[in-house]
Amino acid sequence: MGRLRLSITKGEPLRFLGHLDFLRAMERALRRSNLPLAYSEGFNPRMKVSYDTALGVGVTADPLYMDIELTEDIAKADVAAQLRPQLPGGIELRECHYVDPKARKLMAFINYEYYELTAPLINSYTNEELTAALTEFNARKEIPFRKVTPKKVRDIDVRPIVPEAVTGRVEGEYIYLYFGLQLTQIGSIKPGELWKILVTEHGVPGAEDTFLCQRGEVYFRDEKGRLHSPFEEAVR
Amino acid sequence: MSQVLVSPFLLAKVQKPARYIGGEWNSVVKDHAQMAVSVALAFPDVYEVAMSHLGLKILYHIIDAIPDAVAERVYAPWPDMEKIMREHGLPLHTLETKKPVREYDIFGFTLQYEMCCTNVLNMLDMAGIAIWSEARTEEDPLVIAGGPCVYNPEPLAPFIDVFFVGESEESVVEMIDVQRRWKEEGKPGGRRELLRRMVVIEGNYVPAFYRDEYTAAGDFLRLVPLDEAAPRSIRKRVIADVENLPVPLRPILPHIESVHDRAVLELFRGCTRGCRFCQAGMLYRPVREKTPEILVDIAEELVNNSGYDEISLMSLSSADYSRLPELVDMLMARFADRRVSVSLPSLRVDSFSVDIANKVQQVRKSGLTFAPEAGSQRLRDVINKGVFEDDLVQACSHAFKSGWNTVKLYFMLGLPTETDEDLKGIADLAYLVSDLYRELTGKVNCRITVSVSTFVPKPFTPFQWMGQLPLEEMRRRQDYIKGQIRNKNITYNYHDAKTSVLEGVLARGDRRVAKAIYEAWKNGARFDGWTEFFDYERWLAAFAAAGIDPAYYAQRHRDPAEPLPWDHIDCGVTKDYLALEWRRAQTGALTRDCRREACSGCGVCPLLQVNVVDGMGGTDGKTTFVYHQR
Repeated sequence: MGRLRLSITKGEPLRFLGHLDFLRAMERALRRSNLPLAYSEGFNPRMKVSYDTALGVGVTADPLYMDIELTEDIAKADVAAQLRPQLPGGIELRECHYVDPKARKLMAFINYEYYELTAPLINSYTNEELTAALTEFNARKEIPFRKVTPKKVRDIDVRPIVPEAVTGRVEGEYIYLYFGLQLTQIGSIKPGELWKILVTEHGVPGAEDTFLCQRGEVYFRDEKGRLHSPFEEAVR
Repeated sequence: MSQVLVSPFLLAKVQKPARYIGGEWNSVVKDHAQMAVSVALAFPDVYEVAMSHLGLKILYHIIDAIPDAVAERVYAPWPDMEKIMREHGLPLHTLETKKPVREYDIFGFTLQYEMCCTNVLNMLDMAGIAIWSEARTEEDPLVIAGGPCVYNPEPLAPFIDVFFVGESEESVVEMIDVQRRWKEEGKPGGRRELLRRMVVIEGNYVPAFYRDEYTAAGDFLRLVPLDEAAPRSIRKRVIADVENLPVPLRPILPHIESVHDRAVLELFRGCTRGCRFCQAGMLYRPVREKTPEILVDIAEELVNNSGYDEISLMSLSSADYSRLPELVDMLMARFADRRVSVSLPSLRVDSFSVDIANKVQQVRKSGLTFAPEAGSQRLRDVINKGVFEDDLVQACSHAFKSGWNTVKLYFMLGLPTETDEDLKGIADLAYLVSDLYRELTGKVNCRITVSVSTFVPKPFTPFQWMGQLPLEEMRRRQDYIKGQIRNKNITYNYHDAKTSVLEGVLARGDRRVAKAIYEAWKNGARFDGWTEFFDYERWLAAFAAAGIDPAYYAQRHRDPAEPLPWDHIDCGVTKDYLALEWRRAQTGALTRDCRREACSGCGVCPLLQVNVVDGMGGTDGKTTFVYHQR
């Protein structure tokens, strides 16, 4: 019995699965594993599974956290042994730990995500130039940005959303950027939106719409800037 | 072995890039270096549609089970992906190992519907293979095709090297043996010799070995064999014993939501209801059922190997499976604690089926579906669709009392002897069902959908001589029905009749139509089965450029004595029988299902040496005969 928190990966082979497709693949793997999964009540029972986020098409993640509910006591080593052989190429199980059944839902807990963004350069660019551009960006006190969604258009300040310095490197014809995005009171931005700012306002020679992302570690980042892992709520 | 690698930056730009990545659970990857024969299995439509097709799954399973043979999948790239592939010089390649199709020994298409023909040409072109068979060299794969459309192969004859007619579970293994031996011997005699060896396999048609001839008036006359290896008539392959057929027990799980994305259980092949418009009913005779015992075992394997939570009972008319209630009960019992539901694609119009529907999930989701096909009893008798108004009333009553409030009714327009009176009957039936709902439940919230498609006469049916309605008349009748339905509970659906016009030409065309297909493709025709891509004007221009009059093929009433372009194919049902049925249709005489009643002489059982196999005795002790017209 209990709530098991897993860290899995959405790897390169499955980069282009949307969230619903990924859900379906994972759900089928779980069914094949014959683990004693809990289902919801009612007319259309659903497997009790939740994820830390809905990854879009084109994004990989390592790790991706998910919670599953089990109806029987089963050692986490056994869970791993039953589940691993059923995972399709592109999904790996890293760790699993039981968490307090009353622990916050993953999506509510996590508010800070690290990303690696890769893009082809459309002009020559050196590491020195990149360093200069990033220094410039990192030093800004305010970063006004017009966030456009299908529902509305808002002008927000991106600074609090990117509290840590953005780093990166140029290698061959590609640029690699590393940054963390915070979910704040005023919301957040997508990795592509940060890229857009760097391209349009800081002279990074890339195409706004041509980049790929990998989501890295994710945390709850408190007011003091300390990072709390989703496994902190592990009980056994 | 080369691999075609598409940069993820490019994939990120297309719609549903998961269509092109491969690596699905249960997909089979073999080392091509260890293989003697390689086959690229193609479904000429987009991934989501292609992945639902059971036939290719069966062939994939059979070929991969051969230790030195490998099968991989390839589907039609969506136009946005095609553009990128062409711009970057990326040839068509298979999903499992990204190997270019051109490097395969065999490139096999399944032709499920006529409208995919331009996709076939496009896939050949994207693979770098000559579109016209005669231009292919030893470096090109053998291009083969199977599926229902090969029963009239002529419109695609100049593009396909070998057609496989009928059920190819056995012939595909024979094909692999032929290919293996020819390669081992050092490919003696080149492509021509390979074709000669392929044509020896029963059920195989090699168009290059025949010349099409026409009368001075321009009518099809005959196909003349040009090679002594070429048989005069090509008889379909049929598997007599379906119980022990190889079944794919490890279904590949599609990456993206596909049609029929569930564990598919094939209950039986064939259907002998004898509906006169239905080509499948004629092509797949006789009925051969699998036993519930083996079906339940197959179902369990499928679920274990996939993680699917739904089993779909598939066949031409699943509700006719002789031991259906037993099967459903057995399945429910086997999966009692596993949260696996069972679905039926459609129901027969009787209350017995509604009892089954109570147990079965599909119906709960989308409402009941019935196919009366025609609006009046007179016309239903003409097409031999044994559905009576009373049946529909009983079935719907039962359903409404059980809580359903959604009903879909399928019809056709353009059937032989049809009058406006019959069309009005469609509306009358819909109103009847709607009124019935109100009477029984006191509520007015039922949702009735009336879906009317335009009839296209098909080869090897009793209606194959009938001239199809002209476009203007199709439209007039569509509008007429619309005018008859004025009720907010009833939704009327119909499709653009122009696609039916094209389908009419492709279904009953001869080899001269090939040039029009080529012209249409050259001018950008793709995905003609999709409304967003179908361009009628382009096809009219293609017909004109090829010197084809579409009305000649689609709308002309044919004389039962005239030679037909598909006469060289033998599906077991005799032409005399079809002509008899055509005459019986005119008077609405009914022909019974030979499974339960007397043999009607279609010819399949005695000529092909097969029997009806079903749970109620089949043709045991029954006299079968071949009807001959004097």
